[in-house]
Amino acid sequence: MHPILSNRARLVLYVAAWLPLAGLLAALLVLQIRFSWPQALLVAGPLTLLYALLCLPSWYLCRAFPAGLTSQARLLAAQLLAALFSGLLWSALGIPWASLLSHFSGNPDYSESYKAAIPLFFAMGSVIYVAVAFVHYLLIAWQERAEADRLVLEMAVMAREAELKALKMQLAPHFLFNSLNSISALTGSSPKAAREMCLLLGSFLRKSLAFGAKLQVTLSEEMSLVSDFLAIERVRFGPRLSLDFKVQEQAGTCLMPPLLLQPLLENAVNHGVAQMIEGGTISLEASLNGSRLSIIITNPYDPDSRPSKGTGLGLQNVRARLETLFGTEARLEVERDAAVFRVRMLLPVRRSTASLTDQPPATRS
Amino acid sequence: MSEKLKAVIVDDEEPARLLLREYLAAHPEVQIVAECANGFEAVKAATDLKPDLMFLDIQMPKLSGFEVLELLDPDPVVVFVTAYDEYALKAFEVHAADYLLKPFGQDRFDETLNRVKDRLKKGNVTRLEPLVRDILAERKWLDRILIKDGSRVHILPVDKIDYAEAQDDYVSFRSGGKDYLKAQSMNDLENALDLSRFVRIHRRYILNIERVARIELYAKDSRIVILHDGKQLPVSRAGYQRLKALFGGEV
Repeated sequence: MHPILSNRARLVLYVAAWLPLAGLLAALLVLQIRFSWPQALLVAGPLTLLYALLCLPSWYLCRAFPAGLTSQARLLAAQLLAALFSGLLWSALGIPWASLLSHFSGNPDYSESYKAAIPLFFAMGSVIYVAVAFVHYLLIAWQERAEADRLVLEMAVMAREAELKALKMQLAPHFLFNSLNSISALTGSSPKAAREMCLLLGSFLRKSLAFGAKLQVTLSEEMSLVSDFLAIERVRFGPRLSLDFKVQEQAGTCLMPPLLLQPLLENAVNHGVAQMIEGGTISLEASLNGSRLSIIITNPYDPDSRPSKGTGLGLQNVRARLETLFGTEARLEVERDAAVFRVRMLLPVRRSTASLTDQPPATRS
Repeated sequence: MSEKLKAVIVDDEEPARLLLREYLAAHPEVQIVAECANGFEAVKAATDLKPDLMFLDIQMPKLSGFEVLELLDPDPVVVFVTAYDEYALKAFEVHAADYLLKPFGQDRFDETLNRVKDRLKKGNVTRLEPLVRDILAERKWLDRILIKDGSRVHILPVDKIDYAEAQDDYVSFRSGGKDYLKAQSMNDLENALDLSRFVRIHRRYILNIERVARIELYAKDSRIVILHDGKQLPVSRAGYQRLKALFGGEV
């Protein structure tokens, strides 16, 4: 879309900017080539307006030779050529206009004097063209800037949305209601266990809310949240759920976005172990792998069980968050064989010297 | 009511069973005859013990509560117990099923149990087939067939089925060299199966198209299909048209 043609206010402004040019041109015609003022205005006015329109397509040339992306020599050559051509075209178009004026006024002066003015039109036309091209480049830069700002804002909104979604999933109603039911059940037979579970649930909720407000946490912190979650699930599932966690010491201090592991482990419980009559073991291995933090979560699953509703939502959200936060620097690989489901997450290694981590990392502005 | 009501508790979570046991202790007229941790145990208990009443969790491994219900015959009165399932709740309301939402207290439990006892006394038991049909129909295609064999349950994934054959009021499923019998109508089965993978080749046969080796002209206007294992099945004229449509006319 042409930024001037497509916007009425801009078009009016653009034409208005040409009026002084028409005046200047008429003045030059009066001073240099013995035109009278009315004659000069009759020649210069309509021709200037015509040229205003002729210069508009230069936008497309500016788009074809974007500043900064084309070599300067090529850009200058193209625009200069276009400027000379435009000047030539304009001064040539003046000839029939002048003869038209001569014809209707019966005064051969127009045609005769215009011939003397041709070099003036040619020079003015070329210079004006360059000015218009310059304005177009400014407009392009301004549009690109606005677009970039919009993109940055959009990314920020998307990242925030994904974070909120993660928090919302964290507080999945199914998990909460089942946990409350377990507490209610234990209250009668084993008040101590019920209290223990209240504390675990409290700790889990508190951490979830705190993490939801942070941009990053250490892997150890995320693991403590996950441990609360799994301890609660173990009350529900009893011996059916067993865990095997190995976190390398240097891996524990790495920074990562919060609430990334929890949905993966929730999947491992709900779509894995919970679907097996005998249950099974969820294992997690976190290690440093060159410049990457690698976290592998494995769980057994029942290949005959149908994918229940909600499968994939957690994975999808984790993937979307990784993409908005890290782009191609992070990966999430999912693989399954006959009986084992494996998720491997690779994150760029980040550490902060300070222990407080709710400051945004340098890469985010 | 001199005889006690026989109740079965079905939930894969121990604390949840514990809670029901505790709440039921206040009702001496109800006797817990079995506690089941999964759907298979539930089907077995229902077949062997013929309970009057079943407390049935919905989300369980292998067999969901709804699938258990599909396999029960005759039905006990069922009280569904679930934590959160928007879709199921809607279905419960539509079909006036009795249900308990976790967590629930003794009051709510007593209320539900009294209503159920009332139903049993008046013989005014809610039929749950429409509910089960609604819930199961929500899935796009049938992806496995549940077959009750005495008190045992077989799960046949549909892609392991070679063909289904009508036998009076039953359908016989051929899978892995064995036949499994289920009370079902051919039309219901045909409607539930993915018709890009299964085709009704004859009034009496539905075929897994992956098993087709070739189709041969048997007599004028009459064809047979030969399966990879050599088995031959008759193909009706309408069945042949369907096969042709599926294989893009190249049969």
